[in-house]
Amino acid sequence: MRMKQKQQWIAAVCAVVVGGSGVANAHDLICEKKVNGESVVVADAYPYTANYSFKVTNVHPTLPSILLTATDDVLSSEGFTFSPPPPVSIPVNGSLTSNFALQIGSYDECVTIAAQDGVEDNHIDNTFRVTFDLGSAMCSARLTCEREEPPPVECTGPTRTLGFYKNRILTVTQCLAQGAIDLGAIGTITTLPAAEGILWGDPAMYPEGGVRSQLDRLRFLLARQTLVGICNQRLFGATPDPTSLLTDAVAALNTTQCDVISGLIDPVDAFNNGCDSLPLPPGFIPGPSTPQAAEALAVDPTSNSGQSCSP
Amino acid sequence: MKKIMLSTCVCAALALTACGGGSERLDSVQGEPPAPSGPVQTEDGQRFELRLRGSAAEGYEKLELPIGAVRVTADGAPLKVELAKDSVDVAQADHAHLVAYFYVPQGVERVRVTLQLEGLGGYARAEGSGFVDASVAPVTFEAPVHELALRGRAVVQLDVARSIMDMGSHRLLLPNGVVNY
Repeated sequence: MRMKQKQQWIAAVCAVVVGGSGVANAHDLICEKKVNGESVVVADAYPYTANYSFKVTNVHPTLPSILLTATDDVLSSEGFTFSPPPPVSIPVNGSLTSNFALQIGSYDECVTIAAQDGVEDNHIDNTFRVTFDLGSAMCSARLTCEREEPPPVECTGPTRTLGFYKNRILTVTQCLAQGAIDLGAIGTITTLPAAEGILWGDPAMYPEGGVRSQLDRLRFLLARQTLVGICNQRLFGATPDPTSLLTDAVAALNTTQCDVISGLIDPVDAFNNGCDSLPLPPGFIPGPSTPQAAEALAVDPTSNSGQSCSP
Repeated sequence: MKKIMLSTCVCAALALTACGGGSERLDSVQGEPPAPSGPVQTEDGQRFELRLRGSAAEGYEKLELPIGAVRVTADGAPLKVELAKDSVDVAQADHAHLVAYFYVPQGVERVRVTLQLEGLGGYARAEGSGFVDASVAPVTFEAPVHELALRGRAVVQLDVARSIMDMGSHRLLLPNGVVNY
């Protein structure tokens, strides 16, 4: 009887030693993470779908391993949970794979998600982590956020930029010769000094001094690009896309909607830059580049509107 | 019967020793203190080690990674950390480099460890050398203190073959590997 009790005691101690040392539950897991089947991908068109896959493999040669947790800090906040939910046993030579589709609506959203990985850049480098007895495994994949390439511009005629016009008195003169230029609440430009004043004026300051209001600053920035755009249309037959871009800009200049005004500055600027590489029409004489003379002519026709941005 | 059971125990113990619980021997690290068998008791609490090593680094003569920072928290509160190195060469797969000490006060049950590699590292292979972009998201893991206490350390083991991406002009670090306690 005593012999049997001793044997039981030894067996119990042995079980504690072996079990407590982690042999019963092996801990040899590795993980693999891919996004759209790759380790590194680039998002350059939106909306973008990132199909993540998370694979956890038991690499212990003889025993099952227990997956205790499986997390991805960045994707968890986007709704990712590993399936099947841990804890779960993975047999010898076995693996578990969970998938998650991340929908990214825009470049800005992509960068916002990228900032959650601990480094503020344009890479989503989130790490998938799995834990097991006495350790954990990690695996990473990179999704790089890039801005969408603008669609190729179809040129109906050449364009020139603000910098070109502000230095060439003769080109601006030829534009004005075709009629007054309506710039909405900024006013109608009929004279060369006023046109040069729009091109050379300070967007930050009123000509009489003082800092422009937000509304007046945005109006000024849009007005000078719109003036250049109208001249590109008149002189070179260039057509913006959409064709209503310049009339939309003039309409916006008549409002106090700063978000609308602000949202048109880059598109009109892009139109003026879009066909800058095309040669000028045969026979067109742009005149010499005389920045000092042009600036000397400039008289900024704007003044404080007294208005402010509407909500 | 008793002999058989004892033999089984001894075999199991030998097997455990051989397996090493999944961790690696650290005694061969040159110029560094030998790995402790458990945490060291100090005035600031139990002192643990954070070590970094490479595996599957075949073909690399050198793979130096810059250490940006090590942060350790318990329930969100920062714990004391002493950085031991500002870069390590993980091409030497038999070396687990001491990166930092961190101190865990009495009563803390769980810590969150963040190893931030950042900046540019360098690599050398027989066919050429270049730089490694290591400015990526940090390596983060959470560990129960009682598991860390078994050996007094956590060893981050980078699987070099899966962690270093050839980007043409340079190589990119995307941490893949395991952390052993």
